[in-house]
Amino acid sequence: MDLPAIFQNLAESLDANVLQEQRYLLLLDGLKTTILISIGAIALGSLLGGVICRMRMARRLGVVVPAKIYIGIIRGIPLPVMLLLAYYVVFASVNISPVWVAIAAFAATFAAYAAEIYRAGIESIDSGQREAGLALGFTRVQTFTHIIAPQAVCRILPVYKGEVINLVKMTSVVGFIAVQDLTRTADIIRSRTFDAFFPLVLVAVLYFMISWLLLMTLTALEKRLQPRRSRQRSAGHD
Amino acid sequence: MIDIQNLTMHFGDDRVLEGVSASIPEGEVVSVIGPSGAGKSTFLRCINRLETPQSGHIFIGGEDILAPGADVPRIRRKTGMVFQSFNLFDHLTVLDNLILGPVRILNEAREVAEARGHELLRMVGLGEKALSLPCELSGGQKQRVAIARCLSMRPKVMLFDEPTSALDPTMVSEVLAVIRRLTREGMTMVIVTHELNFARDVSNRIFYMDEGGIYESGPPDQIMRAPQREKTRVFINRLRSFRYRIEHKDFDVFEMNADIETFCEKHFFRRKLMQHIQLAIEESLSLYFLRGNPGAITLTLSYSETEGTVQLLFEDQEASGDFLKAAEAGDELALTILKGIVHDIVWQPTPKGNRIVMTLNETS
Repeated sequence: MDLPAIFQNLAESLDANVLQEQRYLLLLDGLKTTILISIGAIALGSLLGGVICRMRMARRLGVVVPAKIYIGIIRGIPLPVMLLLAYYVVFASVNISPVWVAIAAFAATFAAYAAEIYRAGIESIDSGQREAGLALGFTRVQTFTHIIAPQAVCRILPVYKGEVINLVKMTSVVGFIAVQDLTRTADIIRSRTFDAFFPLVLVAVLYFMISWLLLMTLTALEKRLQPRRSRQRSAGHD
Repeated sequence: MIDIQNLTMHFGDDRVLEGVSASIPEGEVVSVIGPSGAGKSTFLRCINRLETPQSGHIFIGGEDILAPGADVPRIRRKTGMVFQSFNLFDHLTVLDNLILGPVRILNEAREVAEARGHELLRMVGLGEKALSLPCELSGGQKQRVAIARCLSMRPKVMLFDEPTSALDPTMVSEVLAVIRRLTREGMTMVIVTHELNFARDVSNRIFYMDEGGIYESGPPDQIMRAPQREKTRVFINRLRSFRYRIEHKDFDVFEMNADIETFCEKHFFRRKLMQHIQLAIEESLSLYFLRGNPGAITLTLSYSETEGTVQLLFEDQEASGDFLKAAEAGDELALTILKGIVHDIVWQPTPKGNRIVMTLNETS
């Protein structure tokens, strides 16, 4: 007897929070912004992280020290503060969309963490692997790309996955610089409909789904990269 | 094939190699032996420049790998190195380990490289393991794959860095058998090893390394049976020694006995042998002290693992003539006791004093 009532409530909430005034478009926009910032920051940050990691692992002190300072500073500043600094100080005089400022700030942060994750992964590979590669006649770069990197990736991915999810969730603070992301949208809807429960739970579910999809993608990649006994071509014979 | 000139390598203050020169012609098999820390591995790793020495030249097939601006990866390809810890590429199957180099460096077609890979694996007796991962192999199998991987690059020289040191005793022979097979095929090889018997069997020349260089080198029979220099002899006969300096007649006999006991226990001497050693020392010293103060005496106790004998050596700096004879004439009790426990006893004059050498058998 109560069930229909609950369903009816839900349907009403759905109608009020999502359908009325085409709020689903607003939500969709927020979702897009969140995804854009996340993917952009992850892609840029991963690349920048590679550069920082390379610097951090260099032999010349003049290269290592800047990398160390960068990592140290970034890790010591809360992300929302970074974001505000980027928006109101670094890019204050530049006319640029706050979405790009957000991507830049998140990428810079992600890079510092990624660099340390990469370094841990690379340093965990036994130096014998490098020596064996060099002894065979590979150059240093070839040794890295053919021997060290494939093994390091397998060890990096589990930690990297966690960092990626972390970033997606941290993008929820971009509202500070007036970017309408998923969280901000939920907040706007809430202020219009005075319903806190439905929009917030809906957004929580959406965040969970983005994280889950990313996690699945990276896990699939991780599985693909695991050393396998037989390669696909010879799978039938073994 | 390999020409090493004046190689000098320091790790900080540690002078590992000091002006080492050697020449290894094509087809020669050289074993490098010596105590740990003598620079054997460093010497080997300089040959393919995994270590860069401070100075010197190493010509491999006429090209100096240590020259500034040398194309190190290209010259390195003339050598293959087998490591103590195998260092197989853990993320690749056995076959992929073998073809990575030929395909990526030598630009061989994958099919050609795979065919040769299979052939090499059969040669080392692992034809059926082509698709296994390194973690699925035993130590001996891994090392044989490592050897095959080197051969896949068609090197002119093979360098072995203690190839059997990380293996179970049961797996040593399978690896040595593969190396033996390579010697039959005329491969130039430098082998750093602790397997003295293997070194004797397989090599044309042995380098004994000590004191920052090649301390003694020669054909295996000479090095193993009749080493010319002191440290080589000590190493080959696996001599263990203990030295104690007696400064005065009233020296600390308890300390000396305790030290001797420690030495004996470390080498698993039987209790009776230890007692004989202590008794022999006591009686010898009493012979010394009977004749007044002899000054400082150096006592050396050395044990040869291969011969199973213990040698006691007393050296002093007092010119006093053959006092064993004197003791015999005086019918000293100490000498009688000594003769009862030692295998033989000899007096030798030295430029400054006397030397008494006595031998005890492990089984006595």
